[in-house]
Amino acid sequence: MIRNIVLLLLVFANLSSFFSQEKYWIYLKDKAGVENDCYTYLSEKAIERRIKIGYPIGAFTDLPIRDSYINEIGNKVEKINAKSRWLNAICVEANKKQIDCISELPFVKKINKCNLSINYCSMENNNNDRLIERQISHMKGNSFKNNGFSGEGIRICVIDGGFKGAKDSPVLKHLFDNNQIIKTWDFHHKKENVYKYSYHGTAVLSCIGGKNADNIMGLAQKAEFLLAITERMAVENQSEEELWLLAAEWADANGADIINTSLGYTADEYFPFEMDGETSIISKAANLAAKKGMLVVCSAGNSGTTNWKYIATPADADSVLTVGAISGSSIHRNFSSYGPTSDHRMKPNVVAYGDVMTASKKGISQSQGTSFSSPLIAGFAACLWEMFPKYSNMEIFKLIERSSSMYPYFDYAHGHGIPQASYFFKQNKTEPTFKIIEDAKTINVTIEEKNLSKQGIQYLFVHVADENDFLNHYETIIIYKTIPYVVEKEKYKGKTLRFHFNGYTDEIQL
Amino acid sequence: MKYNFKILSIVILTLFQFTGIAQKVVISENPPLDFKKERSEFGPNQKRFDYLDLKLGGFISNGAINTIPTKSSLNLELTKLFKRKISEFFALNYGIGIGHQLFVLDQYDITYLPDISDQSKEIKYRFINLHPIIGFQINFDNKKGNQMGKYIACNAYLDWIFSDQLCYKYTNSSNSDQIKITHKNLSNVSAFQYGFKLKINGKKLGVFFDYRVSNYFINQSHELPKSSIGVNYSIYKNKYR
Repeated sequence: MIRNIVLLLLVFANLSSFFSQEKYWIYLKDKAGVENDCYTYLSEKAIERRIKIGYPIGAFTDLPIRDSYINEIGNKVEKINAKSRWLNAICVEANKKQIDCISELPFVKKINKCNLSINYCSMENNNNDRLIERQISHMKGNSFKNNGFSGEGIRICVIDGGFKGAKDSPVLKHLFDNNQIIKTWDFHHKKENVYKYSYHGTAVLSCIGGKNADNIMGLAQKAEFLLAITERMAVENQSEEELWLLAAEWADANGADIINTSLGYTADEYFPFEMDGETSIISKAANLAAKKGMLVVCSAGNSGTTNWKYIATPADADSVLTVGAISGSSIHRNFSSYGPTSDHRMKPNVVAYGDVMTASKKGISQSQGTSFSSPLIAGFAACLWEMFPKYSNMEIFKLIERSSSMYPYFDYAHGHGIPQASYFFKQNKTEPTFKIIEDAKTINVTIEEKNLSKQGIQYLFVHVADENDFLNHYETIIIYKTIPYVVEKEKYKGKTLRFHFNGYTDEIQL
Repeated sequence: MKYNFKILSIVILTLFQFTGIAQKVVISENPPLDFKKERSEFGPNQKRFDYLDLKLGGFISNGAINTIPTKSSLNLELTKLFKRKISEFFALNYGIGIGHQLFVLDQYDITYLPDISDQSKEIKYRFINLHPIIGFQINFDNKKGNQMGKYIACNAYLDWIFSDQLCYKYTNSSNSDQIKITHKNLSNVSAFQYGFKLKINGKKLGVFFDYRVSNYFINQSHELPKSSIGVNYSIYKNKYR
């Protein structure tokens, strides 16, 4: 009996040693002596992009990792999972003993554990054909279409969990017929075939460049696409962070201008206070991608109604254009994750519809989630970049924010609002839609009768900002009548109150 | 849907025109000033966490002379577990589950099955039980140990056997017919069993070792195998999607 128990414990001990195999990122100190292979490693388009933004070709992050370092580490570990030029780091599978040994190597800068769980930012499907027109019109997308902008010459990398059925989807047929799918790669299985596993990427792709008969579902009808799988959706709970990083590097080398990523990492690995854009590798990678001239568009996440509530990573990254979701009534859709980042930066940056029509298993159906808000904006960005080809990624980023329906107003549910393509063609002078009247004790926001629409619901947006422009409080209010909205001055002493109604923003300092 | 929304908004507007209400706050948010202080409960090591634990394994014989030899066995359990974090390293466990144990005996022996014919074949004991458990777990990865990380859990359990069966096949010597016989509510089986469970989990997947301290049979020198090993899988929704 005792002998058997001892044997069992030994089995357990062996199994626990199985568990002790961990993934680590080994950051290296230098790239001394490596040859600059950027002209062969980078595509023509990637080189052009660098020239455009003045980013040096052969910058430290573009150079390869030193072979001798890879070999030396490779000899000491079970397996090398990934290599990142950007981070000058190698992802390995190793045990604690091996890691201790590696940490003593003179060229090793630091070692971090890695492992992430991934959350796709989408929900279930239903049918509703009327949404197609609305998902373009809410961004005034026809302004791009009517003026001949459809993302031509712009290359978009979609990083997702699978593109099952994309080749057979009538909604995406034109992309394949016109050879707009430039390259594909499944980083999980290291294979070219990405048309399997999940329909999620197919749905996302359709929101960028899909077309149902004559109705466009996304604005970038003529853009080129790179499709990458970094995760298997069915598995869902486990993923490797390095795959996203590698996909971003792959997108860079293959000349992507825009990366759309409709996924986010939350509570399985991180605490809300770590959503600061600096903690997760994926945020660092997204920021690096932006530094190299790519516009990274990311969904905010679908945690709005959960305990987590706030944005995921990489939506927290400073240079990532984070997209939240709005409902049919053009205000925050309850599932869309709220901002700000834990270091109080505004997120999401903009919003788009979270209830859209997408390509699906059934052909076309209604889908919900910030997963689909993000590609709508990626398509928008492609058209805008086609319109302003000399602009850098961050200039496009700022332009998208500036064109948004509530700009310069913002809050942490809507960002600056919905980007409006019409802004780039006809800029209407904004007339005041309300008055702020101050008396000794109160502030009265009065909306004139002429500014109240007889049809549809209208919203007054109010926020209270402190001296650092961090919002302490914000509200969205349905306005039914011209009776003033009253705020007690005493309550917000020393703060800035901003109001937004029907495209007009005004503020008062207390 | 578009038209429904329009109709709905007109109805709401008209309603409020009559009621005299001028505004209605639909979103009101106070963002956290300090995420570390105000939101620390919502990370990967929550104070409270519950999940389903599915176990699949078999029993192993300890080779003792009084252990009834088995050809095969099955230990299947589904348990709802609740965890309460005490510290980053230590958490309490409690829960309730349903279990199914099956023993296919290896050979007939009159010493432990005195009441059945020596021509009986495929002799099986089957027990279905309800088991409350209580214990603790130690997290190896203290940042995320309570739900996703690696941990070792040690629990005591008490089984209430609400269904027990002894099944076997018997060949009638007169006409060679095979008869399947099932005895229920066995008088020599104790309704309550107790023991302990040990589990090592790496994220959702783990291995377990269960040991039953008590005996199934009352006043009998022979006993079914007491140790069980197998794999377990934790089932829970990612609450943050």
